[in-house]
Amino acid sequence: MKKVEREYIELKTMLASMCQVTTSMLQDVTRALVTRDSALAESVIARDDEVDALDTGIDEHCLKMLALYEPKAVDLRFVVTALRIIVDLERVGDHCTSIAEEVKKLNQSPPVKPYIDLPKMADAAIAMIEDAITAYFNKDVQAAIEIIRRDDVVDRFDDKITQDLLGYMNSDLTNSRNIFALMFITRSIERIADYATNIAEMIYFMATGEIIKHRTPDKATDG
Amino acid sequence: MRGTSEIGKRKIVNAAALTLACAAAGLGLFWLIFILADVLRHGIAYITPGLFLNEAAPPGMEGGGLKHAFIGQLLITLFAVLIGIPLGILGGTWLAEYGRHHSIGRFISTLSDIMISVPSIVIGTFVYAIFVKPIGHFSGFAGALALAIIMLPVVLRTTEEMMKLVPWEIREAAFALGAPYYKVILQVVYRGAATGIFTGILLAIARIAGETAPLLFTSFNNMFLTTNMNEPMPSLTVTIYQYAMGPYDDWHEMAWAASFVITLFILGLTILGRLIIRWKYKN
Amino acid sequence: MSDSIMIVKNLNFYYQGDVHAVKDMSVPIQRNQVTALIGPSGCGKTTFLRCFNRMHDLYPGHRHEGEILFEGSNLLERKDITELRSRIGMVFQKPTPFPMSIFDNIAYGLKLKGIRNRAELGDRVEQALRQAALWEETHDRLKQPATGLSGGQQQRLVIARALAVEPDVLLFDEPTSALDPISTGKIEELMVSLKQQVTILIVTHNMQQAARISDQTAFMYMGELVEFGPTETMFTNPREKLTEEYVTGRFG
Repeated sequence: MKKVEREYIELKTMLASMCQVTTSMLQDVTRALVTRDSALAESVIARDDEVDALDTGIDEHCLKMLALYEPKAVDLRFVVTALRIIVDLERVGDHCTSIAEEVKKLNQSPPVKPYIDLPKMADAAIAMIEDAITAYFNKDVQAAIEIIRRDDVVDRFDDKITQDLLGYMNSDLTNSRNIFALMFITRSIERIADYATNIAEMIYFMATGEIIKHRTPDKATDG
Repeated sequence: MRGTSEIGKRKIVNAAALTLACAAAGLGLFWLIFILADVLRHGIAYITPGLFLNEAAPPGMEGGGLKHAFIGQLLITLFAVLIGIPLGILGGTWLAEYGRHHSIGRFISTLSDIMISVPSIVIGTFVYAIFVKPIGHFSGFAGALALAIIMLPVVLRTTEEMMKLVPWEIREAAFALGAPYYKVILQVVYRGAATGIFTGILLAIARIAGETAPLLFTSFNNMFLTTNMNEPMPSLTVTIYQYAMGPYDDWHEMAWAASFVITLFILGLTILGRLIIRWKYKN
Repeated sequence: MSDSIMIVKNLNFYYQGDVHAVKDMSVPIQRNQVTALIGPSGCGKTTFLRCFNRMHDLYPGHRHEGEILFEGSNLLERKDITELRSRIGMVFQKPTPFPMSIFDNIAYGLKLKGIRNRAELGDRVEQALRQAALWEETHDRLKQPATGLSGGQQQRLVIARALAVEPDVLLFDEPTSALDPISTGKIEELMVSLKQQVTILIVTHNMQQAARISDQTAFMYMGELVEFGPTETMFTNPREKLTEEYVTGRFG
């Protein structure tokens, strides 16, 4: 195998790792919320170091690949896209950490309401990230466009949950701090889904060479 | 338009020049073919086994042959080759390998080129002066020496050029493997130049095969078969000269036949040399 | 972290007429790694390379100072050059097959060392051709002239020829400049795979080639060593401004 092939494999391995760590952080923090497990929340916070280390590692690796191997065409776009994806994944990690902090605080008081929609919203977001990384490895344009569309699902969850929480706040002002915490968590998950959408847009660029960052979804499907 | 008349004029000039060139080539070819055909016509009729097997008969008597002349020519050529080729190859090797960096190498090369054009009779008189007169008599050795001196610059220059054709990088590669210079020359350069050098030798032999003048004052001639190189030696070329000028018809016939044999021999060697070169450098 | 198989100490080289071509160079050569020498034309990298196997001894009038330590002694002062050249081999820019059969080419260095046994020669020729990734293409025509091979195959033949004597170091002087891109790629792959058996030192005017295949890179300019270090650093974050200018293509 050529030396450069090994470098690509290493890059993909590191990216897959970073994706796996961040999605499992989101999974864990959601479970920590539902099962009121502060220890689990704490472990999520600790894992952010792992994400940061992978971020730095992939950064250096991409720099090395650009300097030494002068990738062209789709290979160049692959490496450049990797550099941008890790920025978003790192932010996902940071959001999970913030959510975990809120979960710890929430667990100090009795539960506000049963959590039905939040876990579903979180699952949708996790699926979007996982599918995005898979689409990146497969350079799959169709999957990327799909993911961009699914952002609507998460947005709808966001609206519904926020409405519900506002309703709760009206009827019970004493719990407002916790309700704000839940709204924050909801917003965070919505932001995480947006990051997945970003990644999908970058995959579209990598596969086709077209930059669709600033277009709306329906325009993205032209041609 | 100006253009078309220009083109027309050029076409006429082109056609005229082409015609003249073909005519000149045709003229040269005509004489070449005429001579060859004449020699062939006259010579082939008189080729008999007796020509090769019989020794010379006393003048005027029938039944003579040219055995003595053939054998004499062979011996003289053999000795000339034995002297000329090793010296030529060694000299060419020195020029190609060691003389490359010195100006004396270029000087010797140029001198060799000049020597190739020296009239062979001058070389004959030279050998007469240094080898025949001091010793006091003509000899086969003197004849061989004269022919060797004629051969030497041809073999030397061919060897030099063929060896120089082997790129310097090949020698460096052999050095880099740890070979000493003499092994590089023997095992690598000679192998690369071998075909060219061999062809040069063939052409040098073809060159001396037809020489008459230098043999006139060195090996002289001899009516009788002899293998003693220290005596005057018969040679085919001088014998042809002698017989052609003589009064007897059968002498004339034998002269034609001998001319035919020599011509065939030189033609054969030259064609062989060219074929080898063509085969070697085809790829 | 590998050790140094050779250490250059304060090497100065002067061509005939006191032309100072290599100026006070000191650099370690790591065992079983590929070290590249880069720099603009005329910077002295080929001159420097040729010091390692004493190629300059062939030409009169030069002078050298300093040392190249190899196996405990200065190889510039070694008496037995033939032995040195069987330990440190060289591949040149132009493919140079000898005018003999493929087998005889590879066996040439072995015969120089006195190996005559036909079986042993056969084995070692096969091993060398396999190492050079040429066995598949030539095993059924070993007796045919080497000049019938293509340019890329000829260069691999030359590499096999050098490998047959089992050297410790292989010097490459712009080995792919005369070849097409596909042959170049094959030879680059070969060099990377060979470093497990030999230490490789390569001069190249193609700095991208150096980036692709080498572990350490030395950048030379006007006979001097400007910078030496891991290839990754040289191309992502060089220390010297001059190196950066060269690597970004500002000159040379």
